[in-house]
Amino acid sequence: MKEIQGISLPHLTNEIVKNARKTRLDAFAVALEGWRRGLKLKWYTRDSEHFQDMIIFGVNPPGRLFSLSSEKKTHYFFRTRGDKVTNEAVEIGSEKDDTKEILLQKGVPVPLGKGFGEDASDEEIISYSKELDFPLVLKPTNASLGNGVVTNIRDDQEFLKAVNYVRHDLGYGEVVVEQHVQGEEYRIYVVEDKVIAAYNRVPANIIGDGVHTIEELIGLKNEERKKNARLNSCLIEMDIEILEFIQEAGYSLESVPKKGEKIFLRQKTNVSSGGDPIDVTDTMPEEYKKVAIDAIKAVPGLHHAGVDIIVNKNRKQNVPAVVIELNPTAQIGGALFPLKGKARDIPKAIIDYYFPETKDKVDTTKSKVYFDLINVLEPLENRAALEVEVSPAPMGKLYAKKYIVYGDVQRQAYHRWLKKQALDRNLHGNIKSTVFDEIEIIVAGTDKQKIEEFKKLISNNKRNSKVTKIKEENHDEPVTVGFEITEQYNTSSARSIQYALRKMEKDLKNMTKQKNRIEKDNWHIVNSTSWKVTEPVRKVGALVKNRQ
Amino acid sequence: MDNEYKWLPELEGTVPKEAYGYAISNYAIAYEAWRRGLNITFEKVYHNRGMFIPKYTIYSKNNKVQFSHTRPHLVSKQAIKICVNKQLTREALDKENIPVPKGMLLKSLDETYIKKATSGLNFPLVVKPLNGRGGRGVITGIDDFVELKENIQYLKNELNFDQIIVEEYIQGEDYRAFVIGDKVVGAFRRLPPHVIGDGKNSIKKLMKSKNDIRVKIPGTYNMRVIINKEIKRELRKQNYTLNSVPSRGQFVRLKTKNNVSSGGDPIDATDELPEEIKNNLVKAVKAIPGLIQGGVDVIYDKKTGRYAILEINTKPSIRNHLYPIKGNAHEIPKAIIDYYFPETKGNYLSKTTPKYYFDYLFVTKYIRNNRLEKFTLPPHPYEPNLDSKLISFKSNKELTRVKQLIRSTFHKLKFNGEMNLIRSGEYELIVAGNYQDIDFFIDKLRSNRLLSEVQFYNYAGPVRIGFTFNNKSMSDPLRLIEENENLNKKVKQLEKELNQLKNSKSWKITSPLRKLKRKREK
Repeated sequence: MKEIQGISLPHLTNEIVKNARKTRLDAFAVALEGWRRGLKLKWYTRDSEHFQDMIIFGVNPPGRLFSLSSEKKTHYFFRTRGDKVTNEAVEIGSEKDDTKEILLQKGVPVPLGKGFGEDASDEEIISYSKELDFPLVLKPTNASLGNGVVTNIRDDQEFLKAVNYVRHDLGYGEVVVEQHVQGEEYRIYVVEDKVIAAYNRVPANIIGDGVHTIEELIGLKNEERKKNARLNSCLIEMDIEILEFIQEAGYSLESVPKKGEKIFLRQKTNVSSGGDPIDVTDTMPEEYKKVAIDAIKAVPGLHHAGVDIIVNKNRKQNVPAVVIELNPTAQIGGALFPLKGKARDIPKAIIDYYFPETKDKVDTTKSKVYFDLINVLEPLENRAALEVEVSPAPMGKLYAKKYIVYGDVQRQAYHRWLKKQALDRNLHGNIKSTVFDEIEIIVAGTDKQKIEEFKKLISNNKRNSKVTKIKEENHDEPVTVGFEITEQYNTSSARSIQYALRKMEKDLKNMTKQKNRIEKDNWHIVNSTSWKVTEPVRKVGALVKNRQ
Repeated sequence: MDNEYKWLPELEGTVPKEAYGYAISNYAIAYEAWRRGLNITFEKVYHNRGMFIPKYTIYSKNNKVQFSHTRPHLVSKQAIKICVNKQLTREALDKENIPVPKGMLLKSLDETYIKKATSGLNFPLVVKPLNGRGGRGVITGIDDFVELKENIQYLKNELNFDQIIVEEYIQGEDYRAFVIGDKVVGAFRRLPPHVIGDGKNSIKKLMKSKNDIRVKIPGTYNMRVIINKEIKRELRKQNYTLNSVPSRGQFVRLKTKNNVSSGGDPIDATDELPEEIKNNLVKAVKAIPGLIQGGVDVIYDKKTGRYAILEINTKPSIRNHLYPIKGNAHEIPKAIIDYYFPETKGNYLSKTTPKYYFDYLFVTKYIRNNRLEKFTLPPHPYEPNLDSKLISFKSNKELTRVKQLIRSTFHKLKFNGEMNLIRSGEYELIVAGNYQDIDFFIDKLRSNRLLSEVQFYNYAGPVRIGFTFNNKSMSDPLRLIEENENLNKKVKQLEKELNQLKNSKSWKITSPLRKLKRKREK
C-alpha cells in the first residue's frame, strides 16, 4: 500500500500540520479548531502578562501559548491545557507522589505500595512485601535522579538484599515499597467524564514477512512512519540498544523473521524512540475507561488531561487497571496520527468544553482552511511583537480555484496588481511563478461570485501582462488565510538566489540596451528634420484636437 | 551639501524604510507614544473600497486612543462629515467670521442656473468637486464664463463629479497648518513642482537631480516628479521644452497643482504666518463641532495680508511637517501624544536607554497580506544599566549554525538588535541589553571555538527591537528587482512615445523624406 497520507483526521492532514512539530503540534491542533469555529486566535510570547499566573514550561520558541476568544469570553491555553485547569491541579499532576496520594484518597487504583519511616524495622518492611505480588520496587522516599532505586525485584531473597543495600549500605532509612508495574500501557485522553481517545503504545517493533531481514524491515517500517505527521520525526533509529535487545531474543540484523512474526526492538514504549501509537478507543473495555475518568474527577480543577494506565495483572489487587501518571499538558499527536485505528478529535472535545456555545454550530471536519504557522509566529520568534492575532478564518463553504496563466505574465507589477485584486475581494491564496511564461494563481473565498470576478480580471492588466491562455482547475488542497506572492526564488537555497540574481542582472542588461535603443530612436525622430518641418502641422492638429 | 533643513533628531535612523512615504505619519505618532512607554497595537481594518488599511491603538492602563492615520477616534463623525463636504466647511467657518473664499455649491449644472448663481462672484474663479481628495479636479484661474462652463463640463463628464463648487480665486501662497487644541504646531508652504535653473543643465536633467534629492527624503521618497503631459503643457506655456536650459536662478514651474505628492515642495513656514491668522486657524478647527485637531489649508498673500481658509483635513499627513525640504521640522507627534496622553508629557523612557526603534515591515508583510489581524509591539525596553555595543567576529562555520548560536543567546539574554553578515565568514552584531549580560556575551563569544577575532565597540546608533538578520554580503535582490521594474516601465513609456510618433500623421507624411535621407546616408 503506497499512500502518502497516513491515518489522520480529514481536516488535520499532514500538509496542514507540516510546520507544527512536537509540542507545537498540540497547540496548533487546538488553536486551529477554535479558529475555524470563528473564535479569535492570538499567539503570545512568554513575556506576555496573560501567562504570568499560569504554570508553563518549555515555551520557547513561541507557538505554545495562545488564546481563543468569543464575543463574551477569552480562554488562555498552554499547548493542550486551557485556563480552566487550575494551577493546583497542574502541580498535583506533575508530581507523581502527589498524584498517587490524591488518587489513593479518592479510591482510584494506583500501583500498591507503602512508605516506611527511619524507625521502621527491616522485618516490618519485609512482612509488608509479602502482601504484594512480585516484582517489586524499593526506593528511598526522597530519591533524586534514580539514586538508590532498585527495580524488578523478583523474589524474597532479592528483596532482602535490596533492603540491606538501600537502608544500610546507602543509608536511606526512609523507603517506599511499591509494586513494579508491568503490562499493557495505555494513554487515555479524558475531557470531563468522557474518554475522547485511547491508544496503546507498543514498543518499536517489526512484523516479519518471510522475505526481508530485520534491518530491511526496520527501513520499511520507517517508510510507513514517514507518512505519519506525528511519527515522521520519530523514526526507529538503529542503535546499540536495539542490537542488544534483539540479540537477547536470539536474532541479528540479518535474520529473516517468519511471516507474521512480531519482533520487538526495544523495551521503551515512547513514541519518540520508535514506539507505535495504536488507537484502541473503540475496543478498550469500559472498566479501563472508568479508571481514567475517575482519575480526572479525583483531582479538583483538572477537567481534562491525559491519563496513563497499566492493565493490572496483580491478583491481590482486584482492579482492572492502575493509574501511573496524569498529564495535564498532554501531548495528543499519537491520538491525532495513530499508526493503526482511527484518528481521534481531541481538539474538538477541548474546544467543545471551553466554548460549548460553538459546539456543532460549525462543522470543521470539512474545513480546508488553515493559517501558516511559521509566518504567523515569525514576529514572535524575532521578539518583534508581543502578541499577534491571526486573521479570522473565512466562515462558510469555501470555494477554491486554481488558474494557470500563460503568456507574458512574469512582471512583478502584474503580480502585485493581482494580489491587490484578490485582497480587495477578500480572497485568499497565492501566486506562484512556475516557469518563465506561466504562473499559478490560487484563489479561495466564501463568495463564489468574487472568484468569478477575479477570474475575469486576470487578463485585464494589459499594461503589465499579456495573457494568452488561462487554464482553470478546482483546487481541493488546503488553503492558508491571506494572500501572498510566493517568493519566486527560494531564499533558503543560496544556489537558487544566485541563479535568480544572475538572471536578473542579465535581464537588466538587456533592458538597458533596449532602453538606450528606444531613446536613441526617439531622439532621432524628435530631432529629425522631417519632425521639425512638420511642427506647424502638428500645432494645427493639436488645436483641432482641443476643439473636439 | 549643507542642509537647508533641520529634521527631528529622534527620527534620525529610527524610521525603517518600510514606513517611508505616507506611512511615516503612522510610524512617527506610534513611535512618539512608544518611547513614552505606551502600548501600541496595529490592526487591520477592511476598508469599504477593498484594501486592508492599518489602524493603530495607543493605550495605557487607563487611557486608550485609536488612530486612523493621524485622526483619533475621538474626532466626531459629524466633524468628519462637515470637513469632507467643502461647502459645509465654508458655511461653518463663515458663521464664525473666519475668512473663506466667496462661493457656493452648484445645485444644478444647468447653464442658466450657473450663470445666475455665480453672478455675484468676481473672476478669476475656481471650480472643484465637493468631495474631492488630493487636489483632484481642482481647476484654478478661470477667467470668464465660457471657461467656467467648459471646466464644469470637464469635471462632470471626464472626472464624473456631479457635486461641484464654484468660488472666487484667492491670490496668494498655499499653506497647510497642523492645529491641535489651542495651537498651530506647525505650518508649511507648498511650492508648486518646479526646478531652478543653473545655466548649465536642461530642465530634464534638473528634474532628475531634483528627484534624486526627493528619493532621499523619507517623506517624499516615493513621490518623484514624473514627466507627463501636464508638465509638457506647462513648459510649453512658458516657452520651454524638456531640453531647454534655464538661466541661473530661473524658477521654472512644472505643474499648476501644489500637492507635495505630485511633486510640490514643502517649505517650513510656521513662523511666516502672522498671529492673527494662526488665531483664526485655531478658531477654524473649533468652529467644527467635535473636531479637536486638523490640517487646515489656507491661502495667504504676504504682500496684501489677505487670506482665506479653503478646507480642513481630518486625517492630514504630517510627513511634510516632519521632513520639510527647507526649514525646521515641527514636533507634531509630540503635540498629539501630549494632548491625548498628557500624563506622559516629557516622560521618555528613551532618555536613559539606547536608541530603540521598531520594525514596520509587519504592516506590509502580515497586515496588508491579510495574514494577521492584530500585531502588538513589545514595550519600549526600560531598565537600569542598558547598554549597546557593536561586535564583530569571524567564523567559517556554516551560516545557519552561527545564526542559531547568536539568535538563541539573544533570546536568552533578552537582547535587542541585529546580526549582519558582512561578507562570507564576517559578521557584525548590534546588541542592546543589560551591560553585564553584554560583557558575559562577549566573553562567551571569545571563548567559543567556532568564532574568532571577536571585537567590540561602543555603539550609540539606533537599535531595532527584536532580532533581525541581514545578509549584506550579496547584491540586494530587492534593489535589483526594483531597478528592473523601473527600467521596464521606462521602456514601455518610450515604446509608447515611439509608437505615437510613428503613427502620427506628420510622421507618415514625411515618410518619403526619410527614405530619401536614408538613401543619401548610404
